[in-house]
Amino acid sequence: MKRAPASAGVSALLLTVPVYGLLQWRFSEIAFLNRMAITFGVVIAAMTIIILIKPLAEPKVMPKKRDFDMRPTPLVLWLGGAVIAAVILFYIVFW
Amino acid sequence: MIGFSNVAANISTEQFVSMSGQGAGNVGLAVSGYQLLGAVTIVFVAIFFLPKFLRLGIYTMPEYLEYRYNATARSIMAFYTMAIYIGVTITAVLYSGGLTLHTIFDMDIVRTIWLIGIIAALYTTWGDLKAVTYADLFQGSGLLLGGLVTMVLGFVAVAGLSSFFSANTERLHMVLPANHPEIPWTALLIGLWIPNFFRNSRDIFHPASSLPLCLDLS
Repeated sequence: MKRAPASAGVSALLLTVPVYGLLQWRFSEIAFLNRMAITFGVVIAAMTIIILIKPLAEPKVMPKKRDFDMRPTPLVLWLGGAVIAAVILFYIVFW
Repeated sequence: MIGFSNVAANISTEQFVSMSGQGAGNVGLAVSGYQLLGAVTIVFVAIFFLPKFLRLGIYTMPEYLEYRYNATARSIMAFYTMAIYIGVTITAVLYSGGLTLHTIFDMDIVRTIWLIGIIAALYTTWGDLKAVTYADLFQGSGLLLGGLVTMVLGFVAVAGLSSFFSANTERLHMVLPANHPEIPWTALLIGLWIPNFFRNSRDIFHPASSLPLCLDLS
């Protein structure tokens, strides 16, 4: 994805609306969250095709305006893990 | 501060009116999946995405698209965002907020909608992103406290937890059948994560990007 040209991004943005619209029009029985997942899949597939046909010569490097140490501390990682575990536990309890 | 602002940016009448309605209706407890999986996405956004956005020094998602792709991508995203905010988010939030004030205080609904809109517009234009972040801090505390009070009063009104659980056994499920019209279990695999990642990247990112402003770091 780092070699995705600008046309891939623009195509993805433009494709989203007609793909979702088509799904809503022809397949309205599919739950809207699943229609969104299908749209996501179609857009990713389209971007992949564009990257394969016309990749950037060099992987895109994003500019840096500010730089400070953003590495998470071990405590943050543990707390993050605890949040995810709590959500999983809630799903299991109220399955 | 960032956490509170994110919570406040996330909680609104959507939760207090719309999601509560879905919870009492055909979706039940599963509607909380939007928020609970949101907690998981916040962890991922905070660890993997946020550092990238902060280093870029950007303030909005369309800005990111300009750096990554081009100005056209930025314009399209900006147009979508405006259209979605004006047509969906703000309309729904103003209406449900107005409806709440109308129901509680018996005020004219057009007046309550104007009242909420004008107050929000005043402090946003007066104080910029900094005022929004500070306002979020106070409103976030109020919303959390109000939510807790509502929950306790609700349980008292239905004569306790055990009677609530026994009366709602069919609604207390997080995983719904695949043919459910709103949130089938299949949506938990991909579908539900898409709006969650979008919303949390946006909601956590705005207050986080304004933090250097608040602390005069920039």
